[in-house]
Amino acid sequence: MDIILNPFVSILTVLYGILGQNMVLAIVVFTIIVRLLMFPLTAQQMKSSKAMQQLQPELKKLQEKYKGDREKLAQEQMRLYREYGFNPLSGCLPLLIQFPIFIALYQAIIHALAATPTQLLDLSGRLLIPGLDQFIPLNNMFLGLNLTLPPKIGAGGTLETVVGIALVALVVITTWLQFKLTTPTTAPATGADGKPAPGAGMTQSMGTIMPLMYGFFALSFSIGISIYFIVSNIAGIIQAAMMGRANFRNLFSRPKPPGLATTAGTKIEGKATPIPSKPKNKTGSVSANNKSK
Amino acid sequence: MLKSTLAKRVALVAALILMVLALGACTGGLAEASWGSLSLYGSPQNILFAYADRIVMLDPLDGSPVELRDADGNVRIDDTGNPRIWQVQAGQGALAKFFTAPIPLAENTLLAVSYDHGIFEIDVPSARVNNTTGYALSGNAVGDSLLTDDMLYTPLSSNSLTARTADGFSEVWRLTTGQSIWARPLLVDGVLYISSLDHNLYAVNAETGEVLWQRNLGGAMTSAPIYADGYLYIGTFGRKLLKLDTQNSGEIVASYDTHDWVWGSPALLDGTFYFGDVSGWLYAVTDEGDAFANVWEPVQVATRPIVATPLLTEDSVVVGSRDHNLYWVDRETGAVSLTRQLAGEILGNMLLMQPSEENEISRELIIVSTMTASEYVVAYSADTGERIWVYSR
Repeated sequence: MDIILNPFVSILTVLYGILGQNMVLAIVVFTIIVRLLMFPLTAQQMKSSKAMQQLQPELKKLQEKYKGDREKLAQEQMRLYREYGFNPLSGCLPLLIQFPIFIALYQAIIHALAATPTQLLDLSGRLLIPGLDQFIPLNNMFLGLNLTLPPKIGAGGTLETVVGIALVALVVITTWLQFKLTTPTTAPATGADGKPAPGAGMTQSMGTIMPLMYGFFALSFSIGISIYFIVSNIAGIIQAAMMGRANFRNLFSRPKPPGLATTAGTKIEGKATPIPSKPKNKTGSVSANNKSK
Repeated sequence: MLKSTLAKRVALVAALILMVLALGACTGGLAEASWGSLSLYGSPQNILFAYADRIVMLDPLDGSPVELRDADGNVRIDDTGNPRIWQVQAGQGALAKFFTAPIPLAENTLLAVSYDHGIFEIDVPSARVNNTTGYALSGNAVGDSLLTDDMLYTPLSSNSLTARTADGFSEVWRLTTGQSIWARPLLVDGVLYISSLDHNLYAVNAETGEVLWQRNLGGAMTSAPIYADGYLYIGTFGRKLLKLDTQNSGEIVASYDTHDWVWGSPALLDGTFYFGDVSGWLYAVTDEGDAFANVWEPVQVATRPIVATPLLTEDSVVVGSRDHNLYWVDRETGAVSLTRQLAGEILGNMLLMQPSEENEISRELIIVSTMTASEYVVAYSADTGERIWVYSR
């Protein structure tokens, strides 16, 4: 992890120096830069997610057709993926690459803020660029709040309480917004076979639990991390919007009827969603979906 | 059907809880252990070891915990029939941990300042905390407090140092700085010298808190300066050892470049300053007026930081490192003469105990603490490096 973490800590410290020794600005700019650098991977992941979503009707038909024959079902699914040139792992790989980078970004903020003696001691070996010593330790105060500490809601002064509540609320709201805007609309509780659609249930649960969980993080972890969460969420929303993947209908709409799975970019609710183009040398229908409806 | 959905949701919640725990682990320092601090107390002297959330008193003869005795000198027995040992768990289960050494406050009373905002009074004969909730502080205490006859000066991570009355701990004045203060203040002739992480050294009237002067030294400081003949000597994160003139508002009169940050205070003996840096280099320099001169070329004895102030024996300078090793370095040549490996990182201060008939200790001892339970405190012969005893849990 150090191979990623140490450059991150160094760059964060450089930004801190450039941006008037303002740690909040440094966190904001650094999070945006990392998000931008990760954009190709994020785009790939979104594209893959959309393609997978669009193949769902075909996959569902296969599931119905080969119910009880798992081996055959797997073979047919692979054949379908091959036919449409879709690699089911193509959505995972960007995630696998992004995950350690985002963890490193998160850790870089904690290490750079160096709240405790051990963290400050650790910092000495993480600064790869000469001359950064002059900025150590980084100024961890912002609006009278210590960025290394969790928000003191109720225990601190009025300003601390207000800013603390605002930060936690922003973390919860932006997490919810990002989830709602970037998650494809899913079918409700029942699938074609009448059984509960596990994906839909899970997604609904995630949509509730994730913002609350991040709210809990914001209450428990340092304020600096809350700022990172907020900026990262907002950057994620903007990226999705720029790619046309932000599903603003999701904010206000109820779950779709069974069998419909739409993504951002779907124009009319209930109409067929185009699935990925078939290779030109192949034949067969690629547009028939949602017939079960 | 309902069961299946419920099971999946339970699994999801479990996965999210695991994620919370994983992220919690990523935050590292929020739950990290303190370094531990060693000090000597009483007559005959015993070792006080403050670490994590407790303080234990050890017999320097064999490292065993001191047993509590009643007025007649009999060993006190606990409910299970075992001898009661001298151990204090501050805060009675509350969040309390110690980076600092307890201070004798009065006869049979110790003062312990915890990292987590509390000043505790401990009754020594019973090893009980008089005030279990502690007197609240406004920030974390990393550096040792300084106790005088009437005042208690406590450096805090909340960018301040507080001066309190020694009897009731009511605040008299407060110095606010730009960053944390992690070093014990130095008191010389009514003036407190306070080094801060904000790169400044402050000279403050100890009685009133008035700032007499302050000097930006170009780097953070985590240790106290040492004083000799009107001058202060201090190492900084600016990779320097500096000499300041106290009679001239802390003017820098000599500077010595180091390889890396200097964390601990230098040790001074016979005109030579010995100190280490966080890359494991050890230095021995003399003050030549407006410059420092090497006694020997700096030597990188350790692979990881040297944090604590070196100990000085007749022939050796002894340094502990985060690389788990204790090094004996020849004071005249700078050559490493002995190395002893421990189970954990050596970050806290070390003690040098002289031979004592009262303690039945026949040889000079070096007492070292680590952050590892199997070797919390280890005693070595200062001359031979022989391991004498280990205190573990």
